Formats: sequence, structure tokens, C-alpha cells
Amino acid sequence: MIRLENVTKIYDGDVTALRDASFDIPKGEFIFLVGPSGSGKSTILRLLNRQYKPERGDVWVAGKNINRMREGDVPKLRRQIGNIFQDYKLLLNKTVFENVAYALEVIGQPRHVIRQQVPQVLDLVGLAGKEDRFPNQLSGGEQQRVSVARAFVNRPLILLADEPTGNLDPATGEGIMKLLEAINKTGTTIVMATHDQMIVNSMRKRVVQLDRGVIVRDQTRGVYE
Amino acid sequence: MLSRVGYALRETWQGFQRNWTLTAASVLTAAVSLLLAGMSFFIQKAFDQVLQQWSNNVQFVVFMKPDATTDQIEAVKSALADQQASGVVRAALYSGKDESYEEFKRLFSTNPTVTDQLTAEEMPTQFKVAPASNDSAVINNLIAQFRGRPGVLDVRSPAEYVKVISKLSGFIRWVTTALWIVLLGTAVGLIWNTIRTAMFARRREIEVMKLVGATNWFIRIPFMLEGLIQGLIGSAVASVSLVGLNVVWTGRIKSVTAGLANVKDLALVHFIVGGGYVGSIVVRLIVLGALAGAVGAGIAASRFLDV
Ligand SMILES: Nc1ncnc2c1ncn2[C@@H]1O[C@H](COP(=O)(O)OP(=O)(O)O)[C@@H](O)[C@H]1O
Ligand SMILES: [Mg+2]
Repeated sequence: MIRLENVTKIYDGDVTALRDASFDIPKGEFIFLVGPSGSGKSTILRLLNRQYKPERGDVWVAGKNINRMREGDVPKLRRQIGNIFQDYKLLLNKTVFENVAYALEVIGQPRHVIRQQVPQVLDLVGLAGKEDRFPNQLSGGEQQRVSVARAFVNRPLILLADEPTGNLDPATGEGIMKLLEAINKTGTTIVMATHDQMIVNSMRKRVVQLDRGVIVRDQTRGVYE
Repeated sequence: MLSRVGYALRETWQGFQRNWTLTAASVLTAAVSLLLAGMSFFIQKAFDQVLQQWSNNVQFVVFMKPDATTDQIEAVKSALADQQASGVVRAALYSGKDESYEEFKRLFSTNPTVTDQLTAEEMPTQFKVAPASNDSAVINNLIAQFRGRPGVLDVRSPAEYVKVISKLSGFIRWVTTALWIVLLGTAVGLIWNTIRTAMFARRREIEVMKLVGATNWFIRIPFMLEGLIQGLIGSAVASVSLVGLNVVWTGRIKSVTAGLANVKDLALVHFIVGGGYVGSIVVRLIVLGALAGAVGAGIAASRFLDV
């Protein structure tokens, strides 16, 4: 599903954020990217959704070399990838329903599909009944659930989560992790960057550890360290 | 498809509401520049018509001195008749003191202080002469023959006026064209700035749209539409003003020339630009306005989406 082949990413010509990184993620896997702040976790996620191109090496997603992809095909790639962020990136002037519907609207889904899919996914993330609230009327955990709903509403093949529990207390974070596990069980491949030791240690999933842009460990059923 | 159109229109409308001061500035600049463009086309057309008319019936005027004797006038008259008989002159029109005075009174009918100061006695007698050929050598030769005759004050050929008028029209054309192009450039810049500001204000939405896989065109279209509509409103305002100005202008000329003999020969009436041509200017203004809007917004949108 995802493959990095000797990938090097250099920012502004002198910051090497990732050095000669390679790994292979089969379909349906749940994988943690761990490492201290600045070690290159977010960089990997941004390479996977083609926000950036690497200076060297190849990135394969869903059978395509996305560095060689035409600019016009990037939206198609992104429709197969859901994104979740530490700061949720919700639109504050839109309701819960509208935030999730927006993701379908802007890829041109017709209204009847939106009316059917959005309540379904809001139910899945446990936000039934809160469709008309605005983000600032929700707790952090609830806001992150909205963002999970938005990422998952068009059933992507891959979910990229960048420190999704970073702003949440442990109990709330655990709720989000349960949700991601459930989504992973539907066959969605999940790549999650985190430095939350408790979560990594309790889940016993594959762990790729980074240190200053270099992969120093790649372990199945691993722990944080 | 329908939901996409609805989405684009809704976003465009909201863009206007969010940014109405910048929008108003863009629209006004576009309107002023396009009005100027319209006036420039209009003036060109009016001058072209006048020059066309003049060069179509090349003629010169032999002005007699106010104190020329009847004999001197008759001598010029018969010399012209001879030239007409030999085919050098196509037509010669005599205009005596009284005819000249009547025409003069009508032209200045709204201004009695002018008409009171002159009497029929002081009006010059004149001959309007239409040469058969429009070869300038032949005409100049003819003019020279009459210039020296006793009782002749002067011979004036419109060739001189044509030269002056076409120089003047060339100058006006140049200035107005330069002015409207600069102003239209400013309008494009203002529209560009409005759209850039609108996109910056909505950068979070744009980020989310890109991440969920909206195409660049999908993101761009409401903004481009916003710019396009700004340009179009500008051209609508300019078109309405231009048509209004044309109505006033035509009315003025018609009231000044009303009741005059030989109205068709007057240069003034050829400054009236017909409704059909004004219509074609309006079409040009709409195209220019739409282009200005689309270009300004297009540059803003693609620059913003690149980074
Ligand atoms: N857009 C950018 N421009 C320049 N440097 C960047 C950019 N993004 C990240 N970096 C740098 O690249 C390195 C890796 O960053 P990042 O991938 O965000 O690490 P992490 O997510 O593990 O904290 C850091 O040194 C960071 O400062
Ligand atoms: Mg990071």
C-alpha cells in the first residue's frame, strides 16, 4: 500500500529532515512513527499525501509512484487518503455537519450522497445529536472526532494521523485510539505519528522510530522504547 | 454538476459580502477605466467620420474681402464658371452677404450678444468650390489661381484643416488610449489584490479543500468568478454611463444644428456616433471588463495555489 525507497527530504536546501528512509507498509496495517520532536515524523506524512516531493528516492502509494505523478492526478491521490491533525484543522464558521459534509462537497459529491454519508459517519464517531454545534461548542476530544469523521467520510484507503492525541488528556486520547482501531479493522491502512509512549506501548503495533531524520528501528508489535 | 454550480455561486456571493470595500474599489476603477476606453473608441469614431466626410468632398472656399466690389465678385464668379465648363471644377456654390449672415445668425441663435455685434454688411462673401479631381497638385494650382485675384481675401483649403484635425485626433487617441490602458492595468491589479486578500482570509478552507482532494479548478473557480463579476459590473457601469453621455451629446448637437440648411455638410453632425457603433463599443467594454476580472483573479488564484 505504501513504500518508501531510499527517500531523502531536504528543506530550503540545508535542513535534511529525512535521510535515506525505506519501509514498506502492507494494506490494512496500523503503524506508529515515533521519535522526538523534529525527527521527521510529519515530514514522512507530508511526503505520503504529496504536500512535498523528496529530493531523492521514490514514494509509492496505492501502487503509484507519487513523485512522478502529474499535478492533475494529485487530487485523485488525496481522495484515497484521510488526514487527522493535532490541531484538528476544523472550519470554525461551519457546524459539525457542515465540516464533514464539506469534504464531500468539495470533491463534487451530490447532495443525496452527502445527506446519507455524513450522519452515518457522525454516528460512527459518536457525535450523533451534535450535528448543529460549532467547533468551539465542543470539547477537544469531540473536535478530534469531527476531524476523524471528516477524514473517514469518503472511506479512504489510508488514514494519516499526525499526533492526533497531542492536545488531549489520556482518557480522551484513548477514546480516539479506539476509534482509529475500529477504522483500521475496516481495512484502512493507518500511519500515525506520535510521541505518546503510553498509547504506543498499550497497542503493540508496528513501530518505526526516527532520530534526526534517520530510521533507527522498525519493529513489529513494538513499544515506544 | 448542479451542486458544483450552486457551490461556486454561493462562495462567490459570500466573497462579495466579506470584502465589499475592496470589491467596490476594484469595480469603480474598472468602471472608470472602461468608461475612458469607451470614450476613446467613441472619439476615434467621431473624428474618423468627420475626416471621412471631408476627404470625400474635397473643396476649398474663396473668401472675398468685405469691401470687394460687385465687379470683382462677378469676375471670380465667371472665372469659376469657366473652370466648371472646362471640367476642372465640379461645382461652385455662391454664398452672398445675406446668406452668410443668415447662416451665422442660426449658428449663434442662442447667443444674441454675438449676433448683435455683426451686421450683414460685415459678413464676407464666399464661394465654396468642389474640384473635379482630388489630386492635390491640381487643387493647389487652382487655389493659387484664385488667391491672387483682386477682391479675394484668402482661399482656404480643408486639406489644412484635415491635417490639423487628424493630428489632433491622433493626439487625443494616443492620450486616451494610454490612459485607459494604464487604468485598466490598475483595475487588474486591484482585482488581483482583492482576490488575493479573499484567498488569504480563507486559507484554512483552502488547505482543507486541498487535503481532501478538491481540484485546483474547483478551488479557483469561485474566486475567478468573483473577479470576473467585478470586471463585468465595472463594464456595466461604464456602458450605462457611456450610453447616457452619448444621448446627451447627440441631443446637444441636434439642438444646435436644428433648422440649419445643408445640415449634412456640417462637420458637427458627423461627430454624432450612431447607436449601432455605441452597441459595438459596449460589447468591447464587456469583453475588456470580463478579461480584466478573469486575468486579475486568475493570476491571484494560481499564484496562491502554487505555494
Ligand atoms: N516546511 C519546512 N521548512 C523548513 N524546515 C522544515 C519544514 N518542516 C519541517 N522542517 C524541519 O524538518 C525537520 C523535521 O521536522 P518534522 O518532520 O516536522 O518533525 P516532527 O514531525 O518529527 O516533529 C525539523 O528540523 C524541522 O524544523
Ligand atoms: Mg510533527
